[in-house]
Amino acid sequence: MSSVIPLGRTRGVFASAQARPTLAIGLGLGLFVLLLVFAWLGPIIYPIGAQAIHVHHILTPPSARFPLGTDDLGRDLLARLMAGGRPTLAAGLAGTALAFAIGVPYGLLAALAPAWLEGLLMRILDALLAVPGLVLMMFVAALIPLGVVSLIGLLGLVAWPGLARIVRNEALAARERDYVQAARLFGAGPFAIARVHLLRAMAPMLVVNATFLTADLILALSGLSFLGLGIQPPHPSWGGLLNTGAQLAVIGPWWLIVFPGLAIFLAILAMNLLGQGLLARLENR
Amino acid sequence: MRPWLEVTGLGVDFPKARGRRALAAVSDVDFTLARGETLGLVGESGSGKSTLARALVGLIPPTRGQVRLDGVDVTPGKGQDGARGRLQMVFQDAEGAMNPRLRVGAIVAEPLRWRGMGRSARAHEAETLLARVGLPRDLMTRFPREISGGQRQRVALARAMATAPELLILDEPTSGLDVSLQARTLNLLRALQEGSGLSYLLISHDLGSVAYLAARIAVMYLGRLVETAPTEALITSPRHPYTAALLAALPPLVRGAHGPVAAARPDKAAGAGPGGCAYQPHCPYAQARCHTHRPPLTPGRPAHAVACHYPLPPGGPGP
Repeated sequence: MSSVIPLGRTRGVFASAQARPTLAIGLGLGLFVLLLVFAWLGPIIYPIGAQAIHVHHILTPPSARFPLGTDDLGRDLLARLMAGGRPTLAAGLAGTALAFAIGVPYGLLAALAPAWLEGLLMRILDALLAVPGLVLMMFVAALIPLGVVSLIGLLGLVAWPGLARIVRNEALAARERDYVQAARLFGAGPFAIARVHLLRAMAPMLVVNATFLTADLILALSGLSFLGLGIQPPHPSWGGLLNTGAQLAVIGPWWLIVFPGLAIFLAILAMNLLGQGLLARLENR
Repeated sequence: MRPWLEVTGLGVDFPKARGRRALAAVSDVDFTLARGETLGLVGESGSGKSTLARALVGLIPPTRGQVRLDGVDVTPGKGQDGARGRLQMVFQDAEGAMNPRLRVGAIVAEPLRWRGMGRSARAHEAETLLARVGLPRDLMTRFPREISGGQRQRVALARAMATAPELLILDEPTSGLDVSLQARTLNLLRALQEGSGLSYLLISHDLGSVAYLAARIAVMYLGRLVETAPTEALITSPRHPYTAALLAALPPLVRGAHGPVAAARPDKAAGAGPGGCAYQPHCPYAQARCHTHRPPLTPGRPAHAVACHYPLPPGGPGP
C-alpha cells in the first residue's frame, strides 16, 4: 500500500509521539492490547449474544441495561462491538503477516538475484503497484462475496508489493556495508548473508512498517465493510456497524455512529502511536 | 626460484555513468611476496591502495592482470576462487566491518560459521582467537559498540585469522588509533607473524608504521606503483621524486628539518595527458619526455624498481 514507509520519513501526524517515543510506544501498545482484550475477553464479562434480538428495545439509547444502546433490530451494540472487533483486528494482523510472508522474501530475492531476474521481479512489482489497492479490493469483493479468511488473503495480496519494494531497497543499501562485504570474503553465500546480515539490518524498519501496515489494513477492511463489500451482515464488524449507523443517521441514533467510529479510531491511533514511537526511537539511535 | 605470491599487470577499472570512458583506479600493478614476508604499500588517500586490496581478495573483480599463489592462478573472478580463505583482509573501518547487532563472539567466529562449524565449536574457537590477539573472553558477549576502538581493531584481526590465512591484507590497521595503541597493534602484528609463516600486505598512508613492520615497501601514486624497494633503501635513498616528496613530508622529528614540499594534488595530476607520467605536473625534475611517455616500473639495483625516466641518483634526494 502507498502508506508503507521506509525508515527516515515521518508521516507528519503525531509530532508529539516523535518527541516522546517511550510514552507513545507505551500508550499505543497499551491501547491496542486493551482493544484485543475488549474483543476477545469482553464477552466473558458481558455475555450477551451479538445476534440476540431484543424486540422491545429497538434503537434504545445507552442505558444501564444496554450500555451502548441497541440497533434497529434491537441487538445490543456493546456485544456487537466486541464481536465485530474480532474479525476487524484479526484481519489487520493476519493481513500484515501475509504481506510480510510474501513481501520480505520477494524483496530479498530481488536484491540478491542476478540482473535479468531482478529486472523481471521488479517489473512485476511495478505492474502490481500501479493497481490502486482499494479499487482492486472493491472490484474483487463486489464480484465474489468473501468470508473473513478470503478477505485476509485479499488484504495481504494487495499490501505485499509495497513492502517488497522497501525490503529490496533496504537490502541493496545494507549489501554495500563493510560487514556484508566481509561476510562475502569469509565465504558466506547470498542466502546466508540475507538471513544473518540483511534481515538483521532491516529488522527495525520491518517492525515499524508492520505497525503502520496493520493500521492501514484495519482501516481498509473497515472501509470495505462500510461499503457493504467486506464482512457481510449479519456478522458484525466495525465498518459494518458504522454503515448501519450512517444509514439511520437521519433518524438520530448517534450511538450507532459514535461507538463503532470510536473503535476504529482507537485501533488506528494505537498502531500509529506505536509506529511513530518506534520510528522515533530507532531514528535517535 | 618462483615467488610465493606473484601479482602481474593487475588493473581495476570503475565504469563511468552513461558509457563514458572507464576510470582506471588501479593499473599495471606488479609485485611479488615471499612466505612470511611483509610488504608495505604506501600512498596518499585516493591512490588506489584499498581498491588494490579489494581486487586481490575479489571483492572488486580485477579488470586485468593475474594473481598467482604457489604458481597457481587464483585471480578473483576467474572461475572458482582457488585462494578462498588463503588470502584474508582486515578492513580499514573496524566498526563498519562488524554487524552492530551481533555479539563479539559471533563476529569473531563468523568465518567458521560459513565453513559449517557447529555453534559450540565456534564459541570455543572464538575464545582461542580472542586470546591470540590478547583480548579477554568476557568480551564475547559484548556488542561492537560496547568495546573500545583498539579492542575492535583486535577483534577484526582475530576474525581475519579465523580461517588460518597465509596472507593477511591489512588496510590501514593503525588509522584512528592513538600513538600508544598504534605501537601495540604493530607489535601484536609482529608477534602473530613470528614463526607462523604468515605474510602481510600492510597498506597505510603512514610511512613510519609501515617501515616498522615491512621488509619491503611499494609506493603507489594514482593507481600505479612508482617505486618498490627494500625498506632501508627506500628510506635512505629514494629514487622516485614522489617517494622523496613523501619522505620529506614526514614530521621533522622523524626525518630531520626540511623545507616546504610541493604537495601532490591528484586532481591536478589527473588532468595530465594519457601518455605522460602521472606525477609529471608536480615533479621538479620533469622534462619533455615525461609529458609524452609513461615510464614503466623498471628494475634497477637488486630489488629496487622505479618508474621514472630520470630517477634520483642512489644515495639521497637530488638538489
